[in-house]
Amino acid sequence: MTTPAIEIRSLSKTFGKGKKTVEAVIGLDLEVQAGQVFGFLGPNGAGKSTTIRMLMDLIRPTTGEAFLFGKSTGSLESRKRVGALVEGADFYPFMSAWDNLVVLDRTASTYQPGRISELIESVGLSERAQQRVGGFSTGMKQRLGLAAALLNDPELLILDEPTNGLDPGGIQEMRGFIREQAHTHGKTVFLSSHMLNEVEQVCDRVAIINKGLLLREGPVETLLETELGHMRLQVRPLYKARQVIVARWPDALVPLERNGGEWLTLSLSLDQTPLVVTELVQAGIQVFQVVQKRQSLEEFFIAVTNHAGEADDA
Amino acid sequence: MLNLYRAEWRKVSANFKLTSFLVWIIPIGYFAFHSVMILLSLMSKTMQAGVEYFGSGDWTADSLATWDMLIFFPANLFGRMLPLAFMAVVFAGEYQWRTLKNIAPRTQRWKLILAKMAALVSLVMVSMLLTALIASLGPSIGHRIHGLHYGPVLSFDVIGDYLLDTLRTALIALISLLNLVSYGAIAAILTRSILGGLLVGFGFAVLDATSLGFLLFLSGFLNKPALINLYQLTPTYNLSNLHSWLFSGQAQRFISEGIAPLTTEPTFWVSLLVLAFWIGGLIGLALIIFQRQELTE
Repeated sequence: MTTPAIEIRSLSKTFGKGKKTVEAVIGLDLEVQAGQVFGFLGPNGAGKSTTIRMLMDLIRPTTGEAFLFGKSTGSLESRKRVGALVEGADFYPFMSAWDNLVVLDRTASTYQPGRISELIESVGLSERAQQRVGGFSTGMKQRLGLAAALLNDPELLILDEPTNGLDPGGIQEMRGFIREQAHTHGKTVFLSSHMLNEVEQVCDRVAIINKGLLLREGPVETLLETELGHMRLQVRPLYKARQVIVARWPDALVPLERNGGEWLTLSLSLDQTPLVVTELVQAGIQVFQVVQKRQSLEEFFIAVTNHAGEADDA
Repeated sequence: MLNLYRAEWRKVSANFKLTSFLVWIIPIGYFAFHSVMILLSLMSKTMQAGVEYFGSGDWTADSLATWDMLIFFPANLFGRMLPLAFMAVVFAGEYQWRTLKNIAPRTQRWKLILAKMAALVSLVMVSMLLTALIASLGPSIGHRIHGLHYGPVLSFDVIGDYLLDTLRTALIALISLLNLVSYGAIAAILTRSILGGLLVGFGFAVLDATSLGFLLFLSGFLNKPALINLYQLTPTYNLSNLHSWLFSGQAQRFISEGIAPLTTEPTFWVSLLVLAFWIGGLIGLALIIFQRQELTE
C-alpha cells in the first residue's frame, strides 16, 4: 500500500483561552492518496486555512497529528516535497518577480536560475519578470504564487483559494493548470476553494468541513449520486399536483421560489421518478415533461452545510 | 546556510528606501558634511582660515571615532537607534508583508533568524566601514587642498597600527551590533508589527544605555551606593570596558568617581564573557520565541 500524500489523524486546533476559545478544527481525520486531486471545501471560517497552516507547520495542532508522505509535518524533509500557496500570494513588494523567486529558492538552500526562468515563462510573466511585485495585479501575484509553489518541483501541491481575485479567464487558466499538474505531471493536488463549480470539474475526491468538523468526504461522483437529486416536472393543474406531492412526500417540494408556471421541482431520489409520475397520473394530473437533474456540488455543499447548521441550532 | 544568508542579503539590500534612510544615511551624511566643509573652505576666506580646526588633527583618530556611536555612552544613545530601527523594521516587515508563510516552511526557523541577523549586521558593518573611511579622508583632503599637513604621515607602521586599531574597534562594534540585532529581533517577533518593533526595540536600547542614570538614582534614593556596580553587568558598560582594555590597558573607570567608586574592575575576559552571555542569551531567546510562534499571518 502506498504512503498517503497527506494523512491527518484526529487533528484539532483551538485558539484562545477561557471565554475566548475558538475551536477552529475539531477531530479531523483525512487521507489523501498520492496522485489524487482532492477538494477541501467549507464556508468562510470553517477551518480550511487553519488545517492547511498545520500541514505546512506554520501553526501547531492542539491535539492530533498530520503527516506528509508518512513523515511528520514538522520534518523539513517532508515539507521539501510540498509546494504551497497559502491564503493569497504575498511577496516582497520592493523586489522584482525574478528576485522574489530567487530569494525563495535560496531560502530552500538551492539556486536554480534555469528552473526559475522556466516557471516564470510557464505562468506567463516573462515580460514582467524584472518589474516590482508591488505593481502587480492580484492575478499576476497569484500566477507568481503558483510559480513559487512549483519551485522545488514538489510531489504535492497545496493550493488555498488559488482562484481568489482572478477573472473568469484566470479561473479557467487555473483549472487547466491544476489538471495539467495532476494528469500530466502526476502531482497530488490538495485544493481548498470556494469555486465549487471548478472543484467539481477537477477534483477526484472532496471533503466538506464546517465549523471545524468534517461533514462529508468521498469521491465526487459517489457523493452526488447517493445524495438527493432534483427532478423537475411540467404538470397541469399545478395546485393539485402540489397537493399530491405534499401529501405523499411532505419534505420533497423545493421552496416556492424555485417553482413557476407549470413546473414543480422535487428533491427526491431519482429512482423514485416512476412512482411520482404514477401518483400524479392516478390523481388525474397531466404530466408533460420530467427532467432529472443531478445535484451539483454547489447544491450539495449548501444542503450539507445548511443541514449541519440547522442541527447545531436544534 | 550560505544560500540562506545570500537570500537575506538580497532581500535587505533590495529594500532601497529602507536602507537609504536607516543605513546609508550615515556614510552619506558624513560625505555630505565633509563635502560642504571643503566647498565652503574653498569659497570663503573665513572658512579657509578655520579649516585647520576641521577634524581632530589625526586622520586615524577621526576614522576610529566614527565607531564611538556604537560603543560609548552617550554617543551610543543616538548612534544605535538607526541600526536598531533598521533591524526591527526588517524583522517586522516579514509579518507586515505576510511573507513568513512562504519562507518558514522552506527551511528551519532557527537558520532563518540567524541568517537574517548575519545579513543585517553585515550591511551595517559595511556602512560603518565606509563611514570610517570618509571620516579619515574628509579632513585630510580639506587640509591638503589648502597646503596644510594633516595627521600622521603614511608609512607601513602607521597603516599597520591603523588597521589593527580599526579591526579591534570594529570587533567591539560588531558585538554591539549583535546586541542590537537581538533587541530588534525580539521586539519585532513579539509585537509582529513595525511600529511595535521599533518602540519596544528602542525601549530596550534606551534602558541599556541609560541604565547608569537609573542606577545612580536608585542607589541615591535607597542610600545604597554599591547598587551602582550593577552597571557593570550591562552591555553598554562592558563594550566600553573592552575598548578600554584594548586601547588603554586598563578597566573602564567609572564616569564620575566622585559619585560612587566601582568596587571591581572587570578584566577584558570577564567583560567578553558578560557580553557573550547577553548576546547568546538574547539571540537564544529570539530563536526560542520564533521557533514556538504560530505564524498566522
